[in-house]
Parts: sequence; structure tokens; C-alpha cells
Amino acid sequence: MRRQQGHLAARVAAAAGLLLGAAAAAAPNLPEEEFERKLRAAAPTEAEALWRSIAWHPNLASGLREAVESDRPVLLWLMNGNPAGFC
Amino acid sequence: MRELSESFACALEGIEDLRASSHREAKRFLKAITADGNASGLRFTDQGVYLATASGELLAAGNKLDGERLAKMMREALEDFEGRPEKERSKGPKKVSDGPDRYGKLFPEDGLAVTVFTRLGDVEGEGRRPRRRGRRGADPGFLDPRVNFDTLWISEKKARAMVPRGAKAEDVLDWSEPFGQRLGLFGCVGTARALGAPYAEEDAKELQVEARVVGVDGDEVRLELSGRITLLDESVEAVPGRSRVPAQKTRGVDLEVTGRAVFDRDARRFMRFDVVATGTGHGGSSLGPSGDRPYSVCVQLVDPEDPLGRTKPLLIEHYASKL
Repeated sequence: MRRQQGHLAARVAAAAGLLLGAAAAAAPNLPEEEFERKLRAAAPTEAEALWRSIAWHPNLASGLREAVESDRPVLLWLMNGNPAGFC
Repeated sequence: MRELSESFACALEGIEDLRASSHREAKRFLKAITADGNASGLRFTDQGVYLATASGELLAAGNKLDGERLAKMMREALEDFEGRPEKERSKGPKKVSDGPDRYGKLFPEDGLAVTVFTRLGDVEGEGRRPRRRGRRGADPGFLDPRVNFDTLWISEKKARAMVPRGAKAEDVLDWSEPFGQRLGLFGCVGTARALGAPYAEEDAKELQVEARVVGVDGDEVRLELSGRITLLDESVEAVPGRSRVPAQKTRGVDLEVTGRAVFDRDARRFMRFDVVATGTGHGGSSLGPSGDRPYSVCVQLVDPEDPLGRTKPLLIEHYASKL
């Protein structure tokens, strides 16, 4: 009897575990709202991304061509690495 | 700033790329504008912002610029430019050929291309105090040395393999390679303008990223990312190929990774890829800060229509052959 009770308890626990497992698998460990909060905090602020609002040419050759064609001066940002990829 | 910039042809260029380039007009232009040293008159670096006519006549230049100073410089240079006779302004190369684009063809149109934004310091915390305002009332917004933008690419083949066709809810997928490794070794190098040497594989004390399938709705597979990136580089070698750069100091990061991704099995591409890694970072070159500081990384899909979104990853040459 005791043995049967033990089996039953184990089966109930296993079933509960399966249910819990299925529920846990369907829900993210970190709630969506909490993740969104972290994402907003880590994402660039408007001020940090200000320079990216400029319509940059990805290289000098392309910028030079536009300057020649449109009678405009060149603004060249020259950095170690590419400023757009590392600043 | 944006409005003012529309009066210029604005270009970004990496010094190493330009030096290695065979583009005749661009090299001639660079030689002309740096004839008297760099933007601040320095001889050991060409870094800076240069305003010039297309023929290479320098209108203004500067380094360590904040938004206000740069805007003032742009206004003055524009006034100078517009005051010149048209004949003088139009001097310059008659025709400019396409620049070499060694890595442009590698952009993973149907793979995974993300922006990697790193920040030393919390928005609200230490390291995020407004920079000291200069004599001219500096606006800290334009060139903030504590933040860094980079990109990371994963080929179509490898990106698709990250989510197997039969992936189902509860599956746990190992994304340590290639995503975790690329993010750690090549994406966490930007400790606020510390220079761009990658971490070595042996620097990875812990580098694990996994994606758990939290739902499948039709073709849409939703995933939650988690993991840890702990790197420690104790070497003190100079940055390879940059003999003038001071030796590296010990550097490292200890980051907890979390994220969300959505993969469309029909389109066979990621429709969402948001990853946040937060923790501490320290060290870099002697040009960068030392000591533990809050460090965060934000990874998001690029906009392929935006030229900046197609910028090659800084350290692409280290993994281009196995993209």
C-alpha cells in the first residue's frame, strides 16, 4: 500500500512537473516588460545617436563624387577604424 | 546639425582603409587636407573632422569636437566656401571613380546583420555624467567617447542554421558559436574608444549564449536568449599593426546576456533580434579608462536601406573567411 502510494505520489509529481515544465517553457524567464525596460536602457539615446541622423557617405570616394556633382564642400570624419563602425 | 549637414557632402572613412586604398582621387584629397598635420595639427594621427573643397583646399578642421563647436566650424566653413567664386569652388576632380569596397559584397543580405552599440557606464549611473562643459559651452552629445557603434555579420547559411527547421517549443539551441563568440571576441572591444584589437579565444573565461524556443506560431519561431560573456585579456602587447598605439592594458568584460529573437521559417530570416548584455567592463588601451565600470551592449537588427547599417564590422577581417 505504502509502495502504491509512493508510486501515485511520484506520478502526480511527474505530471505536475510536466505541466510546470510546459508552462515554464512557454513563458520567457524574463518577462517581456522587464526585457523591454533593459533594452530601452541599453539602446542609444537620441543624443548618443545624433551623428547617425546625418546622411553619411560610407567612404570618401562617394562623398567626393557628391561634392563635385552638387557644388558642395566635403565634410570628412576620419578615424581609426570607420567612425560608423567604431568611434 | 542635420539641417546644416545637408549643405555638405558628408563622408566617413577609416584611416587604415584609406591608406590601403588605391583610389587616386581620395588619396590625393587626403594628402592635401593633411599637408599641415591632422585636424589639430598633430603629426602622428590623421584623425579628425575636415571641411574642404572637393579639390582638397582646407576650409576648417578640428578634433575632439562637440556638437556646438562642430556646428560653429561648419557654419564658418560654409560661409567661406560660398564666398568663393564659382570657378574656384568647382575646382576638383572631373570624375570620381567608385571606391574599393573590399567587404561590401560580404554584407549578409539574407543572413544576420546587427548593430552592436556599447556604452561604458549606465545612463543614470557612474560614467554617464554630462561631460564637463568646455569654455565654449560644449554640448556633450555629438562625439561621446563613452559609447561606440559597430556591426556584426553572420552569413545566410550560419544564420539559418541557428534555428533548425524542426525547432519546437522548449528546445534549447546553442548560439555560443557563431553569435556569442562574435559578439564577445569582436563586439565587446569598444570600451569607449579603447582600440580595436579583438579578444583571443583563450581570453574567453566563459562564453555561452543559448536560445530557448518559447513559442512557435505558424512560421514564426519565438526565442528567448540568455547567457554569459566573461572575457579577460591580460596581454600587454601593442595593438597589431599600429606601432604608434600605446600598449594594451589588461581589459575585460563580465556580462549577463538576455534577448529576444523571432525567426520566420518561411522567409528563413530573423525578423527580430534584440540582445542586451549588461555587467562590468574595464581596461583597454592606455587611451581608455581603467577600473571596473558599468558596461552595456545593445544588439539590434540593422536597417539595410541605411548606408550606416551596411557599415562593415570593424574587425571583419578576423572572421570574413568564416562569415
